[in-house]
Amino acid sequence: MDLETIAHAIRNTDLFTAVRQSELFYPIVLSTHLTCIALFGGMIFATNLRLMDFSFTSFPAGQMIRTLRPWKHFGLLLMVTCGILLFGSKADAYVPNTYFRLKLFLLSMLAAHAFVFRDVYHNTGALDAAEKMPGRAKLAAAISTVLWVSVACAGRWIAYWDSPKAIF
Amino acid sequence: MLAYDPMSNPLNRIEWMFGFLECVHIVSFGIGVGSIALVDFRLLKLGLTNRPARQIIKDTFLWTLAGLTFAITSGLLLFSTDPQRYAANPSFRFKMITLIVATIYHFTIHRKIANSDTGSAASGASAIFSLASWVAIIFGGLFYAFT
Repeated sequence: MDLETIAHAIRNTDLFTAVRQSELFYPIVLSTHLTCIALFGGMIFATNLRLMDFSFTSFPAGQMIRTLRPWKHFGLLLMVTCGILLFGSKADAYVPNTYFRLKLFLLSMLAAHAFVFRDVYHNTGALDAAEKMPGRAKLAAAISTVLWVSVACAGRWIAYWDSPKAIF
Repeated sequence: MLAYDPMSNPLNRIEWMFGFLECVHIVSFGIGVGSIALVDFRLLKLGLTNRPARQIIKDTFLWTLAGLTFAITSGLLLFSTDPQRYAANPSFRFKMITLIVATIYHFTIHRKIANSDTGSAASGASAIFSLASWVAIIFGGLFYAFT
């Protein structure tokens, strides 16, 4: 089975057909996806600003990471759920889309980022104890900011990809 | 109605310009609304509770201002690409009214409440009103494309 067949099979499941055909559900899911950018993307941004010593300097950095973590996890879950619903309902159009593939690649880079910098994010006591923000934490925050902004832009650009087939 | 030819707008002659402005719009409203949401989460005692709300409104002020300024500027440019269509759309009108109310509310009443937060029910109500209005603005922006 090739990717195209799989994409069509996903698209034609009952769930994703219902999402695609519903006049209200699709825009609601899309709006929720975007709302998550503001609410939980905002938290990621704020944490990164703290780690780069740009703002929130009265907050101990480790404490900030710890108190926002459950919300970020909840936000990511909600965002990914919406993303899967949006993807599934038009899977055949998303799979060949270059910007969708770029977005998946960037998301896998973020997973790698979380793994590589796990010492920064999971050793929050050390961040609070440090006299100066460690360079490694600043680096992690800078890379995270660049990657998340790129994910948002790649996501928007999915809409501007022209299928080579559509020309004919 | 004033005659307006969208093709006379230079923004419409650059293929990637609309998408680029949308990206600026999304990232900057994320920063602007996200920073306001942090204040609201604090007022609702859901996050950053180890510092008073007035500290958070102080720390976020610059980012709220910068985020909203970029979001509104890019929004005006996007609007200029086809003003008559936007202006006639009910979702867009709803978004504009809510945006004006939410922005004025944030920099006046909400700010005052956060600065003198006593953990009262009024603080919570103000946070819920703020969050609800910003979420409504985002929904209004998306629904524009579907109505």
